[in-house]
Amino acid sequence: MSIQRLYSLPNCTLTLDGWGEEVGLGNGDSAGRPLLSILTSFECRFNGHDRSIKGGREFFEQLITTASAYAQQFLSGVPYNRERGGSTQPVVIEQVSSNFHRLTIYPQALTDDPARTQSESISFDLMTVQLFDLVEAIDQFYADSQTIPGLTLNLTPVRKRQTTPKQPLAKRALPAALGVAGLATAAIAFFFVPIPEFRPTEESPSEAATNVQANSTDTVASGDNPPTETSSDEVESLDTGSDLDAASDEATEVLFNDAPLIIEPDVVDQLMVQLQENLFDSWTQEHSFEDALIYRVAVAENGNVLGFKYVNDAALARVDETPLPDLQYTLLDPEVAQQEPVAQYRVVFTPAGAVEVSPWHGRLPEASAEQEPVELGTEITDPAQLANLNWDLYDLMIDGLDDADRRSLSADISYRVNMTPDGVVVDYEPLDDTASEFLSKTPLPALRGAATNSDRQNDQGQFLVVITQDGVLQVSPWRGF
Amino acid sequence: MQVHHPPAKPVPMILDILPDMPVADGVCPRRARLQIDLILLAIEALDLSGSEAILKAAKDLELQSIIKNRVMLWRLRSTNPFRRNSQRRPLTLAEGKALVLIACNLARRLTVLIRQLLLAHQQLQEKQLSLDHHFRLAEYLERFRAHFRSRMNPKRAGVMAYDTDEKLNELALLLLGQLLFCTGTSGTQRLWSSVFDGEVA
Repeated sequence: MSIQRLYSLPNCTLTLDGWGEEVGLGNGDSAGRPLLSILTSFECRFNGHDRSIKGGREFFEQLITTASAYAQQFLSGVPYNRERGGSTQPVVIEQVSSNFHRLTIYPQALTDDPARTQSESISFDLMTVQLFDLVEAIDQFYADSQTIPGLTLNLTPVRKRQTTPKQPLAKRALPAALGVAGLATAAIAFFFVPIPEFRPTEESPSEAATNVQANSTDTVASGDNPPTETSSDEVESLDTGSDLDAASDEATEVLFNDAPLIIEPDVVDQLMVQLQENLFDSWTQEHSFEDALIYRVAVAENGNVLGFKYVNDAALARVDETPLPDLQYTLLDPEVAQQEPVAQYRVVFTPAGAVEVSPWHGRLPEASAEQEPVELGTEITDPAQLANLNWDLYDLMIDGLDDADRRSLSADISYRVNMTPDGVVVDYEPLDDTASEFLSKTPLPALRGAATNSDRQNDQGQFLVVITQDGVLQVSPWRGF
Repeated sequence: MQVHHPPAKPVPMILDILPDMPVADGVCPRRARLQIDLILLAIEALDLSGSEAILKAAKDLELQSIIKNRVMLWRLRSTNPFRRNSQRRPLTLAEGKALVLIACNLARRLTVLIRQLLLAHQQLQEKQLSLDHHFRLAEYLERFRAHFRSRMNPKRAGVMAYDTDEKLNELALLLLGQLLFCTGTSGTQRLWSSVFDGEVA
């Protein structure tokens, strides 16, 4: 039996033609309204447009999926990355202006639909109200249990990794590494800067760090320790006379000088990661500064940013290009500021778009930091060489991993791994907590243990190693293929 | 440390129509807190008795265990980081759902007006006329600007981005379009899902 369904809105009419499979089954609920289970064709017509959209089931599914996803994008402003397999999508909607949306159909891109014989693409410029009527017609269809019950509205938020990157993927991978490792977050932005050392008894070799110390008004126990991370660029951008206070605000001063400090290393680390992620996620401002912006930031135990101070001139001038003013909770009462325990961090926004966070008061020395710094080689960038090494590393990893361990994971884990042209693993860094715990089950510590000093001075390629929660090993060059 | 949840109270059944989102800490992320409050602000600019209507809707939808009075409503909305008195308290998923349900319920009642204003905006654009040529639209924009300026903290960079009438009008018109999508058959689910876009792992 041929059935037609009509979803009619003021600006858009959606007509579905099809067949019912179970004619005469006498389902009580659907009495008089048979189930349309096979779609043979559909037509979508907009008021004010002469042409209509016609096609079969594949085309229909493409249209409703795209329109639904676009509606979500319009609501959230978060662009959904539709790059799937790189092939052209048959239905595309783009925002033309605040009030106009362009729906374009590429029938050629359909694989199995009567409409694919039409070779011409068609565009419709839809006003927001027209677009809404299309989406509403679709939602009414979705909600209609008597029409193709297999197709239902499936709304899930865009996942973090699906959002269109603000920057190339390789750069986006960086900040995650920084927060966790906490040491040379600069290692990423500045690639091969050695791990900074912490030497409480020695004068900091960095003039810049000394400046910071001189400017610091800390009175807390650990306040004598200058910030320990120094990287060439940051050093240059620090300037003695420029510890410009945000200090029109008395509460901010109290906060940095008198508030009790959170010192438990675990808490300091956890808050640091949280702050890094928070800042990176919130950094949506357009930015065009050329010098890194450096701030001193106080964070409460629950992760809220309570206050910040400017460490360099650029940081003051360009504060609007950072998310800090936005994230800061306004503290009005100095008395309150004095009571809340805080952890203090040094936050660097780099022109390249990375956010680096490290504890303001430095951190306790770790065993690995006792080693003499080693001159490191330069980065391998030759794609062919990287591709070869990529496979070497894959083999080394897969050989050294126990299959059962690999499949025991409950979340994806990642490592940064450095490798020489000879295939020697010289350095690595777990990029998340689970990765740190899982480290001993990987061959990485043993592999690095086999590296010699001359290996460490050799050129290095940097790779991202991911083990997915399904136990799949993935290796790729850090900056992408 | 703050207590993240009030003492156990029966959670209104109506909240179950919205799924719990897999977010860290089980609380609404920053963008959700911001967007939900702005949507409510747009509703208040459309409807003179907006804030009363919000409380009334809370009662109608039997959400009083979550939003029992004006102060509670203010506290929840003040989790918007743009607010002058931004509250350092989390917005739980249940609280976020309650506000979304109320917003969409009110938006649905204002469907006719929302469509009229969007069409009016369209027609003004076609005729290249300024926004104040349509009385009702100009009124909405003016009220939205007034609400926004009186409640948002001008020292925040996010708020500074809206330092002119034109920019605030743009925001108000964007929210008007978004409100339209809240009025639909699945509007509540769509709004709820959208405020978590890019926030779930």
